[in-house]
Amino acid sequence: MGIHEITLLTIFAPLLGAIVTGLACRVWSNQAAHSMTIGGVAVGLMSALYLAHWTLIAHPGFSDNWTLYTWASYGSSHFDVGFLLDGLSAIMLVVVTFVSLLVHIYSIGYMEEDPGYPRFFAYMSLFTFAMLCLVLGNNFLVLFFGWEGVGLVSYLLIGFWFKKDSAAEGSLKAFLVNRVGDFGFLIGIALLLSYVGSLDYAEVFTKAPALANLTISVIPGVVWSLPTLICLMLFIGAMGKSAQVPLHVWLPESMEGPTPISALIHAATMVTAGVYMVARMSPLFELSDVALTTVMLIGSTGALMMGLVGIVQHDIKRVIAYSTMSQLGYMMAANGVSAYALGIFHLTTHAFFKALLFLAAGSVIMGMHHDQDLRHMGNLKKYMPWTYAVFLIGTLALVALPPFAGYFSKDAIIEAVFLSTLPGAKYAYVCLVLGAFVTSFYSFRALFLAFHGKERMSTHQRDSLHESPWVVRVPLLLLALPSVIIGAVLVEPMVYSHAGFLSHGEITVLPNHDVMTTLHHHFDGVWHLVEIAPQGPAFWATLLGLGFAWIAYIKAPALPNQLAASCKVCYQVLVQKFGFDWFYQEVIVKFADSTSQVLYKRLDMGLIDGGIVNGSGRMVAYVAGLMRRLQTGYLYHYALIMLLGLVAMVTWFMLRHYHIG
Amino acid sequence: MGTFLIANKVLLPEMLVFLMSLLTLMAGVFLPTRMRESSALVFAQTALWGAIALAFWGMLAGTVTLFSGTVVVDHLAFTLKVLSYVTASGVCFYAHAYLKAMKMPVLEFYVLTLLSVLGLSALLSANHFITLFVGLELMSMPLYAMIALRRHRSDCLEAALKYFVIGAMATGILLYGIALLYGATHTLGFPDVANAIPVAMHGHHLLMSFALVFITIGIAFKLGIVPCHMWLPDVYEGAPTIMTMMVATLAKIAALGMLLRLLVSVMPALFAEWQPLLMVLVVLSLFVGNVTAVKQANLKRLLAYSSIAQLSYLLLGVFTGTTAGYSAAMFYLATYVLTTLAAFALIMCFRREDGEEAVDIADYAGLFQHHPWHAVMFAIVMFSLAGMPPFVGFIAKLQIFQALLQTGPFWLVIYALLLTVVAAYYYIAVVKVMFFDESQTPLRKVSLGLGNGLLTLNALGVVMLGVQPSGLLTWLSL
Repeated sequence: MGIHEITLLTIFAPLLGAIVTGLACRVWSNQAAHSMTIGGVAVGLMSALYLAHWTLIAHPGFSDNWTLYTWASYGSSHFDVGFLLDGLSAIMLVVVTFVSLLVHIYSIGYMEEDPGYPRFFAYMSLFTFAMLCLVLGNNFLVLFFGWEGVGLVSYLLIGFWFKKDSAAEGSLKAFLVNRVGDFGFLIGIALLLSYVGSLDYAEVFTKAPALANLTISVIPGVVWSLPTLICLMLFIGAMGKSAQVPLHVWLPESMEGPTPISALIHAATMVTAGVYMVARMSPLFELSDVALTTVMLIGSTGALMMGLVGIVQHDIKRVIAYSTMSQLGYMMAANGVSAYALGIFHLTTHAFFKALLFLAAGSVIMGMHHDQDLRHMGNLKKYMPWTYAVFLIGTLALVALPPFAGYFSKDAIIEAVFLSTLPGAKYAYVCLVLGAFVTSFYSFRALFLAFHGKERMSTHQRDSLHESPWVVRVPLLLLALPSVIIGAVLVEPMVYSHAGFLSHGEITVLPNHDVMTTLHHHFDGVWHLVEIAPQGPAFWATLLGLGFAWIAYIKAPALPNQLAASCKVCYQVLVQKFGFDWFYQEVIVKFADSTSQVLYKRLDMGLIDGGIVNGSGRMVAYVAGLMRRLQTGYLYHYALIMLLGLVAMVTWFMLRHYHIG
Repeated sequence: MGTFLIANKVLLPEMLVFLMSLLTLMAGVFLPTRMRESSALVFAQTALWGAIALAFWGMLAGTVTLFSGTVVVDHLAFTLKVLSYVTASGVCFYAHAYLKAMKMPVLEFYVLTLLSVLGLSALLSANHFITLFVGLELMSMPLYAMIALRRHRSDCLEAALKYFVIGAMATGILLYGIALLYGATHTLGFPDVANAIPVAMHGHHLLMSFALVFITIGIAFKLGIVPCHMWLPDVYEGAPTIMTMMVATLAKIAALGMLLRLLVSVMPALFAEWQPLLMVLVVLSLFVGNVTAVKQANLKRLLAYSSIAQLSYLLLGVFTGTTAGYSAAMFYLATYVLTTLAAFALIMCFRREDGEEAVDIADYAGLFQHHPWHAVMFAIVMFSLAGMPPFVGFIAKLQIFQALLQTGPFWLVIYALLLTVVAAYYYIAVVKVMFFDESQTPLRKVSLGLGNGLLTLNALGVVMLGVQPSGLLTWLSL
C-alpha cells in the first residue's frame, strides 16, 4: 500500500464504522456497535501513526498533495476532492484519531445504560471522519465539507438527549451561532474563488502575494485591502467554530451533551479547527497586519475574559468549558503573533490534558450520579483516588507548571506575544499573563472543591460513591501519560528546531512578523526550559493563583462568599459572563424577534404567504386540477390532442413560411 | 460464416441477442417445466452481458458502416446500446420474482424483452430510414404485447390498447414525415438525406418543415411529451409495474437516439426550424408535467407526469444545438434511466394487504418505521429526481443548465429553474409521507429475489454517481 491508500484508509475506516453501525443500529447489540466503530477508529489511528512517522520522522519535510478525483468542473474552475499530507496535517491526524479512540473506549463505560448507545457510537465515528476530512483536505471545498460535517455531528450530539429541553436549546444555540461564523467563512472562500479562481490551497497560496495590494470597496467610499477582508472573513468562521469572543456563547451550552462528546468535540478536536485553519492559511494571514492584530487581540481578550468567568461557575463541566475557551484564546493569540507552530503545539498538548480533564470530570459525574454541581462535591479523593490522580495531572498540565505538557506550550506563547511588534501586543501580553493567574485560580478551585475539603454531598450520594470501572480508567491513564510528557517530548521538534515538524513550508511567516527566530536563541535544551521557568512572570502568576485558590477554598472557605458580597458588581459581571448572553438575548434576539413579528404578520403572512406563496401554490393546485380534468381516460381525446398539436405546429410553420405573424 | 462474423464483428451483439431470444423460445418448448424459468433468465442475462462485452470489442474497430451504408456503429450507437443492454439486464433481474408472484408468463417476457432490445439496437444503429423504421417497430411491438401479459386484468388490457393505438398513430405520423422528406430529397439514407436537404431547401422549404414537424411529433410520442403525453399516465398506471419500468426506460433511450440521429445528424440544416419547435414542446411539457404532478395521489401517475418533466430537461439539452448540450442530454438520459429503474423496483417491493401493488402515495405513510432502508432508498431516488446534491440528478440538471446558459435564452433557464422548484415540492411530499406520516396498515414487503441486491446497488449508484460523476460524464460525451 502506498501513502495514498493509507491516507484513504485513515479517513474512510471511521466512516465505514459509522455507516455500518448507523444502518444496523436498530438490530445490533451494543457490543457489536462499539466493536465496529472502535475497530474503524483503531485502524484510523494505526494508519495515522504510520503516516505521522513517515511524514515527520522518516521523511522530514515530506508533503503529499494529491487529487482523489474531480467532483465537478465549471469553465476554468474545478472542484476536487483531494488531500494534503504534510507535517501540519500529520500532527492533527494523530491528535484526532488518538483522542477519538480513547473517547470511544471511555464511552463504553460512560454510555453503558443509554438507549441510544449504537447511535452515539455511529455519530462519534462520523465525527472522526469529518474531522479527518477537515484536516486532510487540500482545498477549501474539502475543508468546508469537513467544517460543516463536524458542525453537524456536534449539533446532533449536543442534542443527543433531545428530550431534555436544555439539550435541545443548547444544540440550537450552537447551530445558530455557528451560522454567523460560517456566513463569514463562506464569504471569505467566495472572495478567494472570485479573485484567485481556485479553491486549491497550493494555487491560492502561490497567487496570494499578488493579492497583497488589491483593494475592494464593499460599501461605496470605504476601501478595504483585499487580503485583510478575506482573512477577517475567514477568521469570523474560525471565531464561530473555535468559540472566540464574541461568538463563544454556544460552547458552555454545548456541555448539555454527553461528557465524552465534550472531551472529543468541544475540547480536543472540533473547537480547535479554527486554530488549525488559521495556521493552515498562514500565507494569507501573513499578508495582513490588521487581520493578525485582530486575531491576537480577540484571542488574548478571550483568554483572560473566559478564564474570569470560569471562576464563578459551579458546574464542573462548565468550569472546564470556560477553561477551553480561555486556552483557545491562547492558541489564537499565538497565531496572531505569527507563532503558528506554537498555536499548533498548544493545540496538541491541550487536546491531551483537556480531554483528560473532561473525561475525569465525566468519571466524577458518573460517581455522583449525574450531579455536576461542585457545591455538592468535596473530598472525592477519598472515594475516587484514580480519578483524583488523573484530574490532578490534568490540572497541573493546564495551569502550565513545569514540567507538565501545558508549560512548554503556554509559556512559549506568552513569550512570543511579548516579542511581537504588532500594535496592541503589550495589551495581549498583559491579558495572557493575567490569564495564567486566572487559569491557575479556577483550575485549583475546581480541584479543591471537588476533591478536597468538606464532603458536601447527600448521604445517598456518599453511600453509592465509587471509583469508575476499568474501561473508564484506562483511557484516563492513557491520556494522563501524554499530559505529563508530551510537552517535553515535542517541544524541540515542533517549536525550537530548524528542521522540525513544521519548518518545511507547512506554515509561512514573513520576516517582519518572525518572533520564533528570537525564541530559538533562548532555547538551550528541554531541561534548561524547565530551569528558567521562574524567570518568567507566568510561573509566578500561576503559583499565586494556586496560593489564592488554596486560601480561598481550603484554608478559609468562607472567604469567597464574603468577597462576592463585598464586591457585588464584579461578581455579577462575572456571573452574567460579561453580559454577552444578555446582549444577544435582550438586544439581538428581541430585535430580530420584534422585526420578524412585524415582517411575519405584514409582509410574510399578508403579502408573501397570502399573495405569492400560497397564491402561487393555490394557482399551481388550481391549474393542476384543471389539467387533471383534461385527462379523461378516453382514447379519442388523447388522439385528438395529439393531432391538434400536430395541426398547430404545422400551421405555425406555415404562417412562419409565409411571414404572417 | 466465420469470415462474415469477423468482418461484421460490430454486429455480433445484435446477433447474440437474436440467437439467445430464439434459444429462450426453444427452452420453453424443450426444457422440463421446473428449469424453464431460471434458464430463461440465464439465457437473457447471457445475451445481454455477452452483447455488452461484444459491443466493447466491436467498438475497438472505431466507427463502421455496413450493408451499403444502411447500418452504422458509431460512438452514439455504441453508448446508447450498452446503456440499453444494461437497462434491460436490470429489468430482467427485477422481473424474475415479480413475474412469478404476479402469475405472469415468465418465458414470454424474456423472449419479448430480448426482441424489443434487438429492435432498439437496430434503431440505434440505423443509418437509413427503413432500418430505423424496422427497428422502431421491432422494439415497440413486443412492448405492446408485454403490457397485455396479464391478460385477465382489464386495466392492463386497457393500458396495452391505449399504448398500441396512440403508438400506431404516432408511427403513422412519423412515417408520413419520412415520406414527405423522401418526396423532397428522393433518398432515404441518412448521409444522403443530410446532404440533400440544403439543396432541397430552396424549392421545398415548407414541405421540409412539415416533414420535420411530423417526425418530431413521432419522436415526441416515444419521449412522452406534449402533445403526445396523454397516454402516459394511463399506461404507467395500468401496466404491470415491470412494464412501466420498461416503457419508462428502454423507450426513452430509443427516443433520444432518434432525436440525436434525425435532428442533429440528418437535419442540421433545419436547425433554425427545429430549435423553436423543441422550445415550444419543452415549455409546454415542463409546465404540464410539473404542474399536473402536484395533484397526483397515485405514485405511478406521479412518476408518469414527472417523466414528462424530466424528459423536457433532456430535450433542453438537445435544444441548445451544441455538443455540450447533446452530451448533457446523454448523461441526463443515463441518470434518468438509472433512477427510474430504482423508483419502479421500489414500488414493486410493496403490496397492500389484499395482495395488490401499493401504488397510492398514501399507502406508503410511515414506511420509514417499518422498512427504513427502503424508505431511505425512496428518499434517495426522489431527491435525485428533484435534482438535489449530492445525488446524480443534481449533476445531470447542472450539466443541462450549464449548456443552456452558454446558448440562452436566459428566460428559459429561469423558467426551467422555477418549475424545478414545483418539482421539488411533489417529490419531497412523497418523502414526507414516508418519513413523517403515521402509517395506517403496514405494507407487505415482497422479495425481488436477485433484484433485492441489485436494488441496493442501484440506489447506491444514484449516490455514488452524484459524488463521482466524471467517469460516466466522459464516457457519454459526444
